[in-house]
Amino acid sequence: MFKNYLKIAFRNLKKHKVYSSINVIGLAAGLACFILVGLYISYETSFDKYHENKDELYRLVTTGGRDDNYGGIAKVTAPWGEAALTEISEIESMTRFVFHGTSLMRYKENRFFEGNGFFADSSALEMFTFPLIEGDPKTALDLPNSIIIDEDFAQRFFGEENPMGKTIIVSEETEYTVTGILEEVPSNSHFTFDFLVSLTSYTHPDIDDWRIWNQFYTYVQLKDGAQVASVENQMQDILELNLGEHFNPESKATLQPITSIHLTSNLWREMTLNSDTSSLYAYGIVGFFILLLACINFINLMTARASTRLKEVGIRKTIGAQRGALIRQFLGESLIVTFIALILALIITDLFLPSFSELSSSPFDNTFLLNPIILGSILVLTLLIGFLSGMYPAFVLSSPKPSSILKGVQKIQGNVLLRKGLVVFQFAASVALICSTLVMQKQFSFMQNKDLGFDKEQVINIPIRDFTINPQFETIKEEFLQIPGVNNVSFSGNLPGGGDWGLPYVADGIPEEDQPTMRMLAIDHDFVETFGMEITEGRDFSTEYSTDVQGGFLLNEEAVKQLNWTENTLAQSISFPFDQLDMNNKPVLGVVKDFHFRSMKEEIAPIMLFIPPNGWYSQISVKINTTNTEEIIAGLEEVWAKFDPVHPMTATFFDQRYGRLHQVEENAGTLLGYLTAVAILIACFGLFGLVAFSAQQRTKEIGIRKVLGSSVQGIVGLLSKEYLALVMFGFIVGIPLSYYWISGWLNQFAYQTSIGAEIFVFTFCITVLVAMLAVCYQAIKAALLNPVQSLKSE
Amino acid sequence: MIKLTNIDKYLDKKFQRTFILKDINLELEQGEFASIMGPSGAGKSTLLNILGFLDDANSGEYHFFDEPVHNLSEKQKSQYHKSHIGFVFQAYHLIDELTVYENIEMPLLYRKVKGSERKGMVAEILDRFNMVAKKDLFPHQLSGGQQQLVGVARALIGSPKLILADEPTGNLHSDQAAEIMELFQSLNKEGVTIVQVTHSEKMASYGNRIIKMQDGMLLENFPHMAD
Repeated sequence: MFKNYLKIAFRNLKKHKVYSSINVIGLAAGLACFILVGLYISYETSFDKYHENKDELYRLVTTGGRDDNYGGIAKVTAPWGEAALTEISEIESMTRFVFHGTSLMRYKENRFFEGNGFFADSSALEMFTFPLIEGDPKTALDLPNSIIIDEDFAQRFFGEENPMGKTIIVSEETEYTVTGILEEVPSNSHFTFDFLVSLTSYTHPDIDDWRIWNQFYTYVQLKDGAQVASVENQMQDILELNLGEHFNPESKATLQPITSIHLTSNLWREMTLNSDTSSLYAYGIVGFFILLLACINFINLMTARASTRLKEVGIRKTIGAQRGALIRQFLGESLIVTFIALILALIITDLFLPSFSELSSSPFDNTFLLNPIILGSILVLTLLIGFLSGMYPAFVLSSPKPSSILKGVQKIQGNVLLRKGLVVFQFAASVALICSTLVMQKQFSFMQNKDLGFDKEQVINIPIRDFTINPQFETIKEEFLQIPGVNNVSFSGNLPGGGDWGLPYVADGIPEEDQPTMRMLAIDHDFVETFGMEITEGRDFSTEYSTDVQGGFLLNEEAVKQLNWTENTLAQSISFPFDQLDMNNKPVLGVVKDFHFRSMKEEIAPIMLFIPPNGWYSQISVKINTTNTEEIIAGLEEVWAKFDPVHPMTATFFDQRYGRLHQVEENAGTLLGYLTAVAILIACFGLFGLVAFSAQQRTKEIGIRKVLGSSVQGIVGLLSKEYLALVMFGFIVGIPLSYYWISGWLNQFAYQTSIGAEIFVFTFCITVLVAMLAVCYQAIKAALLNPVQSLKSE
Repeated sequence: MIKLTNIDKYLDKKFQRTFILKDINLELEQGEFASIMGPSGAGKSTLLNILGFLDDANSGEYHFFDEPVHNLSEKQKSQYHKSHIGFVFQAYHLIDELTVYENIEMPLLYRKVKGSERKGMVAEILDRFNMVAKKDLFPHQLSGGQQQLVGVARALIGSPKLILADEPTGNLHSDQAAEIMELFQSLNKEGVTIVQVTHSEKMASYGNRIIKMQDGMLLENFPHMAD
């Protein structure tokens, strides 16, 4: 019997190839999207959960307050962690990480720039689960200048040699001894690294200051039963005691559970760009809706198709089939089809996983599929879809009287309204997705084309590797300028695009509490010109004034506005009480037109520019005026080698660097574009199938109409009208939904494009056009059929 | 074998009741070959459907081998379909997706006959109907007469006591029709009770009783007319 069902099922699939492919491919595409999104979500929620002590580990940060002080930053100063460990009894252990920074490392002839590493306390290896393949985790990071490296790093430098105990030379001056080999740090960590150096090797003049040198990512492990709030309060008391006059009650010492950092923490100076739950929800919702569309199609088409099986049901009943047997048969058939779709979906998933992973900025792989929860839910879901889509034919078809079925009086009409409702829903969802994609694209092009207030094009950035060349910067500049095509050269301590610093300052004549948070760029005389910024008041720094070095400030318009001096800005002065600087009561020399020194998501904040001593410079920016970049870079390299023969020159393009600020959003936009394409494809598949079905149902009617003199257009109109009306209705429903959703998305950007009418017009055109294609193809096909054939019956 | 007493079948539409069958009293003995005749709309097919448990009467009593059919459950009815009644239709009603062999085999599947036994039974009937060569063809590859042969074979394979045929020759030309009728005759001689609906006097003449109907009522009974 079962074999008989299988035969019927497969022959039916084969006989109705179009329906079957629409059904199977549509459902498979929907399932695949859903599985991909599921994998993405499970990956994003898996962060830092591999640590054995994950429930006891917290990161100590400050939240609230002003970030020119010490608030709202992911890292703190060195003494905080030490004090926390010694003074708070609930804290079991503590470890701190400091960025190592990129340096040239060498073993024998193997030289590489290595930047992905940290200085870390030796307790790191015991608190976190970073297993060592070789070396003793208890002692590996004890001694100064110890380094533990991961396998790739070891392979890169040492090849087949055993790295343990070997020496790596850093910048040709420091020697690190390899004391351990790490397993690769899993990518689902809120920070990853290729190497760790003992924190005892790290020095800085301000390392013991409670406020200034906040470079330490500090983690604590709490004892069993410790209350987070109590630890936080004790920490706050310690801060109040030690920060003295700088204590700011608005900045709160906060413990973040490490497992929640990746999805919820968005502080200044995070170790890596974290995700947020909103994109998780967004993808989740879109994935769910696509699956829903596919399921609706599937159920719709299965039930529509089912009425063509009425005759079979009737025959089977007269032969003695009981209701149960018929229900089993139809349910079985739809389960077979769903499982075929599932297999196809898994193949599609595997094919598209790499691109999905890249676009969602989530490096997950298909091993997540083996997660029993995911696997289980996929199976349950598939069963559910199969069951739901088989239910209707199974229960409804098996009930009518066989005599009426065989006579042909039985008509399946009851669910027509439902079917229409589902079409409307599908198109509403598609319209919402199309609209959202369009707005997202518009926002990205808006960000790309918006006047940044400076010129990011045709600027080459070169990081300084050897700071002993800094005193020669004038000479380097001159030689660079000799290269044809080079317009300007500027040395700076940091760059726009997120590199700005926050340091305490004093604006004369303004009470401390009215001083806005101020960002800083440490630049030289040519910076403003190199980046094409505009001076709106006063003057740019100039070599004509020998006093400009550490001798004055440029402010942006926002800074001037927020400082709100009552008198002429250019008559004001600012002090910079910072040990390494000699900048007390220096004048404001000029005002720079506002420029986007961070991403478009953020509003332009007050910023000031000043010329530091040349030892502060770490970046060279070269403005070129030709597209022949290769030649220029070759010229730059030649000059570079004269000054720094040790480090190879590395050049990046500033516009790409700046573009990375919006990379996540842009990728998300691209991904949503693809998902939208799938959604509308599925919706059209459904429409195509339904129209084909209704054309088939009405073959006889069409034949009679043609015999009676109806034109082809008349028939096409007859068949399309009804469905196109549904699409229109879907459009009307979908527009407000998408407006609501997309304006929410836009709100994350400080600088937004408008949602103009053209978006809706365009959406309308796409929807109607695609729907027309699906509907008219079938309608025309039916209309062109020779009536002699359609009227011939057995 | 069959006893219908005061059978009514009607449709209610708002304030009007339309009778399809009215006050039918009919007895059929085992071994009869009866033909129901009458103009279109006389209720012939409805009567046949009621006889075959495919439709229920609105009132009246129906005894099948002294079993009150009007009290039977769905399940019991389908038991009878499996073992006692075979249907032959004007439009053959074969399942398009199944081959000749599989169509004939299907009733046996519902009766849960074992595989080997099933093969033997199907082979036997294919042989008897001279259709062995056609067993792997699909219905649309056969002529109408051949399809109807398959339909009859399928009705017969469960060795039913009663065959109900609704215009079995309505779609066939005369040679094919005669073939089917001769087949019915020989089956009847083997003891199978046959009731057919037909418009054709000629087809009716193969049977041994004619039941005439008009406007949902039995007009007259002509038992053993053919003799």
